This record gives sequence, structure tokens and C-alpha cells, in this order.
Amino acid sequence: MPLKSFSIRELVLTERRRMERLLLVMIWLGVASFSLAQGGGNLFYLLFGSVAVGINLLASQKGKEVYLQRIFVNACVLLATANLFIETFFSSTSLLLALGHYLILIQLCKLFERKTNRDYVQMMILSMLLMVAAALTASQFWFAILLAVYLVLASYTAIVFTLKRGLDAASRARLAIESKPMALRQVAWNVIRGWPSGAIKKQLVLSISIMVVFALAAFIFMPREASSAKGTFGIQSDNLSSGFNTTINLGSTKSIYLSDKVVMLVNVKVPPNQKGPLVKGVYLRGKTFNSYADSTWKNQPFLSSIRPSMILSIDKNMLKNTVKQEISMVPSMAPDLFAIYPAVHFESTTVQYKNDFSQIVSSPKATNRPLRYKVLSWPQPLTKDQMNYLATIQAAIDGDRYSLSNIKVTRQVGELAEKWCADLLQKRVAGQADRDHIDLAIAERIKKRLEEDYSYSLEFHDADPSRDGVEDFLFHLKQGHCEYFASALTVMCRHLGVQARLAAGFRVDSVNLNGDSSIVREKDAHAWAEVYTHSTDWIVVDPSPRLRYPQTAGWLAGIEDFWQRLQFSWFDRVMSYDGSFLEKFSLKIKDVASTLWVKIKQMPGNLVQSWENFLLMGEVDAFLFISAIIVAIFGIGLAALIIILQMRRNIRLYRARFEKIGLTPKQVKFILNLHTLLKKYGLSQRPSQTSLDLAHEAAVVLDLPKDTLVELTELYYRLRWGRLAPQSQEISMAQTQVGQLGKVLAKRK
Amino acid sequence: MPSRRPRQDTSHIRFRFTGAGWLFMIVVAFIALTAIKNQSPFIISFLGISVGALIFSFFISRKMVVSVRLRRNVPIRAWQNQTVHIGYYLRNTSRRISCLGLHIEELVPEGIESVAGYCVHLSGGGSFRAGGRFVVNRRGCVKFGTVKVSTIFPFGLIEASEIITSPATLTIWPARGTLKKRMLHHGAVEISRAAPSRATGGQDEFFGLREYRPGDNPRWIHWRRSAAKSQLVIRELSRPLPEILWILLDTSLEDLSDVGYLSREKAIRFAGTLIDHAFAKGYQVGMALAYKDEVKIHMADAGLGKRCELLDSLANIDGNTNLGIPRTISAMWRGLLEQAQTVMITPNIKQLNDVNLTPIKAASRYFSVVSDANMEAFFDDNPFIQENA
Repeated sequence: MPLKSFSIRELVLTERRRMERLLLVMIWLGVASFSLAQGGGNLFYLLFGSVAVGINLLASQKGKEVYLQRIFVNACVLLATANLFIETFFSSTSLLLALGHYLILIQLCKLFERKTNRDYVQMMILSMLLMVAAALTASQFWFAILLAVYLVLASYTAIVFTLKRGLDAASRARLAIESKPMALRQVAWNVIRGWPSGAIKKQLVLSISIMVVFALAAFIFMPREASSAKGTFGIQSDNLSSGFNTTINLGSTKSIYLSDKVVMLVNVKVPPNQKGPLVKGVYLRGKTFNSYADSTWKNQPFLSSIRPSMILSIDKNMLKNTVKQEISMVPSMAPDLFAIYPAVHFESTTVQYKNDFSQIVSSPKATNRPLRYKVLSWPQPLTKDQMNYLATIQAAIDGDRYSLSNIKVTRQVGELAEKWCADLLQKRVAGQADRDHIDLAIAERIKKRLEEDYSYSLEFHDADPSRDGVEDFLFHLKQGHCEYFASALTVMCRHLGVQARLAAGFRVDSVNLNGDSSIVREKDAHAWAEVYTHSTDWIVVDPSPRLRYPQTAGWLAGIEDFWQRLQFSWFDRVMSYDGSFLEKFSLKIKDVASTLWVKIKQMPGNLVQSWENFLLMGEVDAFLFISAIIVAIFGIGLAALIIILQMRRNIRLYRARFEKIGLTPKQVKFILNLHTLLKKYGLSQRPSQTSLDLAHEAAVVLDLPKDTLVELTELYYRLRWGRLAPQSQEISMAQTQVGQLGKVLAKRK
Repeated sequence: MPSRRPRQDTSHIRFRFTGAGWLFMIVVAFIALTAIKNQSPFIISFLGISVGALIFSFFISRKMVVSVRLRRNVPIRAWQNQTVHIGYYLRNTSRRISCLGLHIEELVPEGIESVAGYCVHLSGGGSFRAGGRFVVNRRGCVKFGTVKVSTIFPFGLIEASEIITSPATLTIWPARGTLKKRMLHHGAVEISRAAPSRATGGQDEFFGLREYRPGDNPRWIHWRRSAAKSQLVIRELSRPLPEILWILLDTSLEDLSDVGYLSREKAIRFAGTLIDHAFAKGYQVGMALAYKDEVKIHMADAGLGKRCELLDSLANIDGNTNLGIPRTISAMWRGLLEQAQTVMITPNIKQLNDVNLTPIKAASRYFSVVSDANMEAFFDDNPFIQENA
């Protein structure tokens, strides 16, 4: 090893920078994670941290250190403490946020301090605490990626730092009688041959593997508290907003942004013969509105007045041939439940809901985790029994709920409705047709007129809030989004005496009906009208023209879609994990153990019976056959184990021979081959004889070229005693020479 | 060759948390509490990672320490207050796992600055010679017993250590100072002989002629002069006598105070320095000194072996409170001092008040007394001597 490898630069600066750069990146990751986990409000800290880390990285790149005088750094720390105090006591910032800001500021102060090993330890611990703080607030998938990168960086930095500490101590050690520490070159010779990058990487991989295993074990097996959140469900997450609105107020929104954010995963499974009506699209209803005044729809939960016993008394036979829906949705969608109408059965372990299935009332786990539930709905058209069941429930509804008094229709709108449906109204008055048929025809007529005469738009800058929303849409704007169309249809129908209501939820056009998951995005949020007749129950009448979504094309769209799916799966599979696996796992183990125990108890009796059959009647039954196979497998396994152990022992002994002389077998194989060859021709090495003596004797007795034999022996000596790194060419040549000697001897024979 | 690899006894491996480890434990406790309260998957995973890091540290550090075999190379003798280099031959018995960040520390008695070695990397199945150095700040005999091999790899959280017993003894000679004056006189005394000595070889020189005396070697008769003078004349040759230095050292510790103790130590250091200097000049050196129970006289001789013997005897001087310099002088045979330069070293000049030094002076070629009163004139003490050592 050349001495020049261990210059001061190598030992101090290089090792320091080897760690320092990664430490800086690690600090930046902590700052970025915490800042991003808080949303846009903390971009100041992110920017500030990035600049500070960047300056330090640049300095490190140039082999320098940026530092201020300690008094300035201490002053900055005091300022950071004051900031913590102000944020805690005089602002609305939460304590966690205030502490996170404090940690960031302290770290940044430390970055501009002259760094000793103690400072490095402090920075690593601070960074780790900051990451813990970020983990408390973040739940997204990107944080998991950052955390994984952080884990690798932190482990590597800690490993290098541990070695650096020892190296520093060795290079700084000074005896009392010495005026200065030992020259670094001497230190190098005493403590290090070369930087062990390979060994460090190996240990890094090992350590990370073990840490990941422990992380997974903790994640899976750590018991979760079942009732951490009591009372009303109330999750508010700024990051997970939906296009779905819980209130409808026409004219309040000037513009609608179509977001691709995934809010729901739906698995819809429909009996094969009943797919028809759902092929073109599925309406997942979340809310219904039946009271309209001053552009605002009021929510009156569906079936809220019915008794729970009515819902629970459904015959189980009626739950056959239903549309099964498994829904996972982001918590921001709560408290609404979404399902295809009519939903007759709900089931969930993560949420509790009202008896009429209209709303979530509480959640066992009030965290940012997806809510999962299963719903059974009847497919359209409904059977007679289903209709009767629903009619029973319908009868319990307040009769005034869909009366004209519940909506406030302007004169102009009323006149327009009457104008559009004049002929149908006449027919209804004359009793020329069935009332249900006429009602549906009225709804269809209004729908058709709306589709034909009005256009779809997401921009409403000309909307006049002083006017009634429906009137504004029908007579002034002449364009609108789904809420306008559905409102217009509902209001007009109700004006004409048709039972109608506004429904809001999601319309999924391309849903997979075979039970595979379909994605529901924010832009799928929709509003439509529902019309009631005694013969059909509530049916969907959607007057909105189909909107052509601006589609992102190409590979970018694919990536975006993949990322969205990943995000939701992360929430669905990981963040919402509730320890059910552990429960299932323990039950499975219990089942297997009990089954096994029963079989073991039965085994002696079965064995006796089988042997009796075999010995007396020569019958080989299944039990005996399986037992024989098990015994055979066990025997073969045992024999294989013994052979493997024996082979391992032999290999160990073989290696041990060479450990003694400090060489691997491969390097000295040629001399072993030579000795074996000579032994074959009656010359073996006596205890008092050296290899060189043997070579001389062989040259005389067997008349072999003396020079070759001596060269081979000297090469062996050189490898053994000189401990020189062998040249692969030399060894291969030696092996060739031994082979040639063997051929010569064989020819003579 | 054993048929099975002997199982390594790992019961003596000890573990302790480092400072960073305790800090880490506090953070882990904090994370655990947060995980229990918050139940966030990230925090739970964080907890798992932290516990994994601790357990990995425990096992890997243990494995590394168990795999290391250590052999110590320590010198037999060293000077007080001079750097002693010590070598640690480390071998990794594990072929798969490299050992990183190995600390070697001697668990030594008082009077020694901590001895430590460090090895950054010991590859699987490989070996490395780590170096350490130390200073002993008191003369005597240092017995090395145990060495601690430890590592805090990988994260510096847990230290695994093994105590290895490896006895060794190191004799510490008194610290060397500097002689201010030329104390050693090079004598020109020669003795005439009628024949060259066998031992000295070519050092004999022609001195002159004299009459033949019975017993002279007839080979050296100068026949031409004998013929001219008509009596037998013989060639006389001369050779320089070897320089002999005798040191009479007063080792008695009459004054049991710190001052008395330090004075005696200084006298011993002076004796050691003088011995070293005399051997470097080619002197034959002898020494008489008293121990607790006896007076020991080392006959004058040259060579490294003698030098070691004398310095060892200085290193091993015990707390003699009985036998003063009169006893040492009386034990000395005057004939040994013939033609020798004698230096008497005493920490307390008053002890010589009642001693008759005349016979010694008469026997010696040169005689000088170095005491606490005049030692400063001859001797510059070792600069690293600590008065309270």
C-alpha cells in the first residue's frame, strides 16, 4: 500500500466529506419532508433550508467549511427559541408545528457552526426527530419514499461517522510527552489500510434489510387500539378534497376545476344477466335534495324517518342476485356513503353508519385512513317483491316531502315547464294514460329539451347571484354544469307535480362490472335528478349533456394514472391497515394447530387400524400410503442432511489445512497436484523432507526436469512464506507445468 | 486437527450503551410512546426501524468482537517518560464478516497513560497489525494483564467488548536526563607488557625496549639490540586499560517525606543516565546499591547485557529504609575500584558526614561525589518528570 494514499487530505477531509455530503442531504430530506407534510404554508422553511444546505454542499464540494463565529450561532439559536415561544403562546400554530419549526431552525444554525463530532451527532438526532415529527403529520405515499431514502442515508452516515470518530480519536491522540499528535501518515499505518467501502456497503445492506424486517414486523404485529376515536366522525383533511359537494348552491361557484385525484376505488360485481342498465355507467349516489329555495338545495337525508326495524327485517332471500359493491374511499368523503340505488344492505368494520344507510355517524379510527364498506343494491328493473319492500318504506316517508311547497319556483320557470309539457299535462288531466307513464314522459321531455337547448360549461363568470339559479340558467346563461341541469329538471318536474329530487354523487362511465377495481376521481363528481313512480320506484333521469373531459394523452397520462392508483393503494392497503392480518393470522394458526392436534390424536388409532388391514387382508389404505410416503420423505431428508453435514465437515477440514499456511486451496493447488503425482510414482514427502528436497529427489529418481520442479517449489514457497499476492498467470502456468509433467510420466509408463 | 470447530465461548462478551446510545434510547422511547398514542403506520414503522437498528447493533458488534483474535507485541524494557510502541496483531477468524471500528484498550495499572489501538477494517479471514503507544511515568515493573477489544460499529449505539487475558511484563528504567558536565574522564594510563594481549588484538603499540626478565616471552626479544648491548633486550608493548566506572548509589529512604522520595528518585535517574552515557562511551560499568534486605554489587563489565542488568536493577529498587551508603561502601571490595573512576551518588550529603571515604578515594583513579547539593551542576533532569507522579 503506497504511503501517499494516506495524506492528510485523504484521512481528514475526504472521510469527513464522505459523510458530510450525505448528512447534508439527510438534513435537507428532514426539512423538506416536514415542510411538505404541512402543505404550502411552510415553503418558507423549505426554501430557507434548501439554501442553507446548498451553501454547505457547495463549500463541502470545494473542500471548505462555511461557519460563523459561535456567538452569532448562539444568537440565532436564541432567536429560534424566541420563535418557538411566540408560536406556542401567541399564535394559533400547533405545538407539533412549532417544535418542527424550532428543530429546522436549530439545524440550520448548526449548519453554520464550526462542526465537531458532537455537532454531527446533534444534527443527526435533530434530523431524526424532525423526520418523526413529519411522520406524525404526513400520510402520503411520497413520504414513504422519502423515508426509505432517509433510512439509507441515515444508516450510511451513522456507519461512516462511527468509523470517523475512531479515526479522529486515533489521529488526535497525543501523549503528555509529545508536543503534537502523531503524523497522520503514521496513524494511517497504525489503524487503516484503505477505506473499506465494500465492507461498509455490505453492512449497510444487511442493516437496512434487518431494519426493514423489523419495521414490517412492527407494522403488522403491533396491536392497534380499537376505539381510539369516540364520538362523531370528523376528519378534515386539506390534502384530500373532492369535487363532490355536500351542499348545492347554484351560482356560488364561478369556475369548476376537474381534478384527477383518486377519491374512491369501487369493485362492482353484477350478476351476469343483469348487467344491462349498468354497462353505460354507474351512478353512485351520496346525497339527495328535495327542498329548493333561493338557488340553494337543502339536504334531507333519505329514509331518515323510517324505523331501523324496517331495514333490518329484510328477508335474506331478497339479498340474492344483488349488485355487490366494495368501496374504499378517502376519509374526506365522509360522512356520506355512496352506493347504487336502491341499497338494501351495508356492511363495514371501519365505519358506523345511520340505520337508513344515509350517513356515517362515527368511525372507530378517526385517522387519515380510507373508509371501506360493502353494499348490496338491487339491479334495475326491480321485481315485484322488491317494489313492495321499497313501497313499504316509501309509505313511511312524510307525504309532504316532495310536495310543491318544498320548492320555490319562479313564475318564469313554471311557465316554461308548462309550455314544454303542455300536451303531456293535457293527457294527464284527461286521464288518457297511466299517471306513472305520464310522469316519466314529462321528465323525459324536460330532459330532452334541456339537452337540446342548453350547453354544458364549467365557467360561470356571467352568473348573477341576485337571480334564482334555475331561472338564471334557463333564461340568461343558457349553459351550466350538471347541478344546473339536474336542478332545472327537478324543479320543473316538481312544479308539474312529478315526484322528483336532486341526487349528488359520482357517475362512473367505464366501470368494470366483474368485481375488479375501478377508479373514481374527483372529476367524476356529478349531480342528476331522480323521478319516483309507483311502478318503477326512483329512477335516474340525467339531463346533463355528456362532457368531453380534456384527456391527458401519452405516456405522461399513464404515469399520472399509475401514480394516482399507487397513492390510493397506499392509503387503502397500508395507511388503513388495522391489525386485521394479525387477527386473521392468529386465527389461522389456531385453526391449523387445533386441526393438527385432532389428527395427531387420531393417528395412533388410525395407524393400528391400517396395519391390521394390511397384515390381515393385505389392503393398503390411504392413511398407510400417506404414512409410508411421509416416512420415506423423512428418511430421505435425514440421509440428505447427514450427507450435507459430512460434506460440510470435509470441506471445513480441507479448508483448515490451508488456513494453517494462510493460503486458499486454489492458490496452491498446483503443488498439491504435483505431490499427488509424485506419490503416484512412489515418491511421497517424508516428515523430515522439505518440498524442495522432494523436488530434487524427484528430479533424480524420476528423471524429471530439475529446473521446472525447483521453480514450482519456489513459487509455492513465495506464496506461502513471502505472502505475496499471486499472479493468476503464474498460477495457471504452474498448473499447466504440473499437467505436462504428468503427461511425461504417463508416456514413460 | 479437531474434527469440529470448537464452539466459541461468548459468555464473557459485555455490552453497554454509549452516550449516543442512551440518547437514541430516549428518542426510541419517545417514538414508542407516540406510536402507542398516535398509531400512525409511519411512526410504528419508525419504531420498528429503531428497534431493528438496536438489535442489529447488538448482534453485529457481538459477532465482530467474538471473531477477533488478538496477540500483543510489547517490548520487555522501556525508559520512563519515553514513548513505548506496542503492536496488536489482530486476526479475524470469521471468513464472512468483516470487523470494523475495533478499539483495543489496555486495562493497565496506574502510572501509565491509556494505551489504545484502533483498527478501521479487518477483512474476513484477514489480519492487521494495529499500533498503540503509551508513556510510563514511573520506573519499576509494569505487568500487563488484560486487553479490552471493543467495537461500537455500526451505529455507535452499543459497545460490545471482550476482555482478553494476555500477561506480559515491562520493566521501566528510570527516565533519562542530560549530563551537563563531562563526568567521565578518559584516562591515558597504560600498562607495559612484554607481549601483546591476546584479547585486544591490534590495539597494542610499541612502547620501548627493556632488559629481559625471566618469564618474558623469548619471541619478543629484540635480537639486534641484544647483540649490540650484549644482554637480552626485549620489546615492550603497551595497551590502554579499559575504562571502568563504578557507581555507588545510595538508595536509602531515610526521609520518608515527598521531598526525600523525590530526591532519591532523582538520584536514581541520574545513575541511570550516567550508566547509559558510560556504556555509550564504551565504559565497563559496575554498580553497588542496597535493597531492603541486601547490598548488591554488579561487577563492572561492558556490553548490552550488562547495561540491561544495571538499568533493571535501578528499575527494581524498592523502598529501602535500612541500608544506607555506609553499608554499601563497607560491602564493596576495594580491589574492584582499582584504576576505576568511582562516582558516589547520594540524595542526602549528610549521610557521608560520618563515612571515611579515604580508602575509596585511594583505590579509585578518579573519585567524585554527586549529592543533592551539587547534582544540578551535573544533571539536567528529564523535562517530563511530574513532581507529583
